[in-house]
Amino acid sequence: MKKIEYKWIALSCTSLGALFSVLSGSTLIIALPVIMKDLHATMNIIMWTVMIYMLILTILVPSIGRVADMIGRKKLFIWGFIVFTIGSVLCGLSTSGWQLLLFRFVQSVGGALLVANSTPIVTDAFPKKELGMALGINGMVISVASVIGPILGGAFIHMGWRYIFFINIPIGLIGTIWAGIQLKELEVLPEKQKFDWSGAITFTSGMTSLLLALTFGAFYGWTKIYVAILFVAALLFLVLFLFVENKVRQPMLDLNLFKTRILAFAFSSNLLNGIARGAVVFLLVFYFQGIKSIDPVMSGILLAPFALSMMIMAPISGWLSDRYGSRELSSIGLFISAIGLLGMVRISASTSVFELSAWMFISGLGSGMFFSPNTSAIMGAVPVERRGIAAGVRTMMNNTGNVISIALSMAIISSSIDFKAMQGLFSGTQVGSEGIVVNHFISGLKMAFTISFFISMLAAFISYLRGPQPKWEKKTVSQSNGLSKR
Amino acid sequence: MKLNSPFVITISRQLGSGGAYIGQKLAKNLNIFYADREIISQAAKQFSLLEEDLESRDEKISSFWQSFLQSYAFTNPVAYEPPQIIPTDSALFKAEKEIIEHIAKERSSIIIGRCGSYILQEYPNHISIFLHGDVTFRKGRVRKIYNVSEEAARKMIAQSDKERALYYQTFADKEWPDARQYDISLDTSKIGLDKSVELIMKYLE
Repeated sequence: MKKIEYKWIALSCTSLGALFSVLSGSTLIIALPVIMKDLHATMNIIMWTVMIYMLILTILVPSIGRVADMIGRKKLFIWGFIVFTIGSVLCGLSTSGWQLLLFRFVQSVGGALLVANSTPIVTDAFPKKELGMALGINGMVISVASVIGPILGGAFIHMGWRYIFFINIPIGLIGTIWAGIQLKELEVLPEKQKFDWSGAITFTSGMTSLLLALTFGAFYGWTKIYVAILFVAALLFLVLFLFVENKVRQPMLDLNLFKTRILAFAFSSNLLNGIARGAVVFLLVFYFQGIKSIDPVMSGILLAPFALSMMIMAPISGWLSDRYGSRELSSIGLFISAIGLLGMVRISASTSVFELSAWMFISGLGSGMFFSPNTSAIMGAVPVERRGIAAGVRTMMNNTGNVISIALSMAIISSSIDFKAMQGLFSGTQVGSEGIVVNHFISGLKMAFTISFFISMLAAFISYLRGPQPKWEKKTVSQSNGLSKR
Repeated sequence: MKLNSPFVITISRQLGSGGAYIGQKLAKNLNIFYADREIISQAAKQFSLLEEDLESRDEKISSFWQSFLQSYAFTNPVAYEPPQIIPTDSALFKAEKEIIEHIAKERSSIIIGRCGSYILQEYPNHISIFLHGDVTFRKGRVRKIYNVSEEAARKMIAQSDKERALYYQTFADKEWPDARQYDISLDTSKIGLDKSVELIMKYLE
């Protein structure tokens, strides 16, 4: 009987942690223009406050799972709440863009601890027959947070952007105490797990170099020598990362997974989809508040269709994939997402915001149609003992794509507009001919969405190349042993 | 029906009516393959799951809210999803259907439950059997097999009947206990288990 009660307690802890982590990102994004003005931060610092969170999650989460078995998941989960809360307080007290960036790093470590440990805690607490429902509740909480986050963020801005972070204090305190008292420690697995230091270092170095190269190139010029050095460094580190992962016993990224055709193409389409759509919300925040001068609450409402359509699509996609298979559904989903992005290419200073919301809705529907069947295909193509790794790679690909998307989109936009002019456009200190600056920004935006469209179409094509799901091998069924009681 | 060509016998049964007992006796007498847990075992392999992960869902339909909420388990792209496959009821039925069809094509066999009689209804050399019994008889067997109280046995029987009927209705779109869709329908509480085996053997001859 005690276990029946405990499962709901465990779910409440993990859902609170998930809500906490996702809300902090989705409320922040709507506040970026206001924060940029208030802290006199540069555009690239503001970009990095978003990118660093995703980057740290991408690096840490796959590895945290491995070491958690040695330290204990409950301890790490509680530390997640503590670190995240401290990070939030510090973010709220920031007086410069650099401070905010640093404290977002702290916050992201807490977020990684929460995210990495929440699903194992749920998996342990629920009986098998209810696990799907429990994980679905966790997933739904995350989906709802993605929808309401921008709206809540817009509402908080009226009190002051710092409240986006301060609101995490009571949630963090409650979460810490609640989890501390109620959660049970999971059983430690007998197999020793190791943190992939060499993989983490080379991946971090490679990705950071790449993102810095894109950021500096975009804002300070592509012909700068340090930009070239950063690109070369990125290439070297990432090649080294692949080499290292091939050698290490417990790698962060198991390259053997890519030897299976269906997995290679499924992971690749994940990465490309992340690159195609990762920056959409980020760009539209600046468009709505900078170009259209729409207030943050309304901006948040206008951005909701993107996440809302994914939420609506989830049960429909599950129903469709039972009938039509993952290959067709994933590919059609990416195609639909591409159509939505193509619609956004029509963007101009006078485009109706409702039209943009409609295109966002379509793009979100496509993404929602893509994710579930693609994930099912990935999980179905690996043996039991490697599913955790496959799940980690899947999300790593998506998050990496999202991070690259932001940097790449800003690099594209900055090629159309002078850095200082763009800075001025969003800090509200426009100088010179405002019309020209706006048109240049719009031109850059169109280019970014056009490239996103082509990447999404490429993702759809690659998704289709995965081939049909392998059929169950029709081997001879042996005589069953043991008597059935019924 | 000639016993010298491959054939399949499907047994649909109420809990406690002796389906497994009769099926195993028939398999032994006829020297043919007996498929019960093997079906769920093979389905588990197909989904890269452990057998125990699917046992609780065998011949059952998830409630609307379970299915609806489950659809969100894999939706979020940025959160780290669980290393679990949680097949939908339809996906699981489809997998078991393929397994049953494959078994029937491969060799003569006895297939227990899982809408086997519906799945193989067009299959040549197929005999469908429905086994049922009164509640008292079934309660007695369930108590003995599962070592439970009378009340617990009664609840198990009621729940099993409801779940199997719903499962059959969902995928076969027919009433599960409707005798018209089976070649043979036997009340094992009246006839007895061994006598039921004899009657079926005589029919097969």
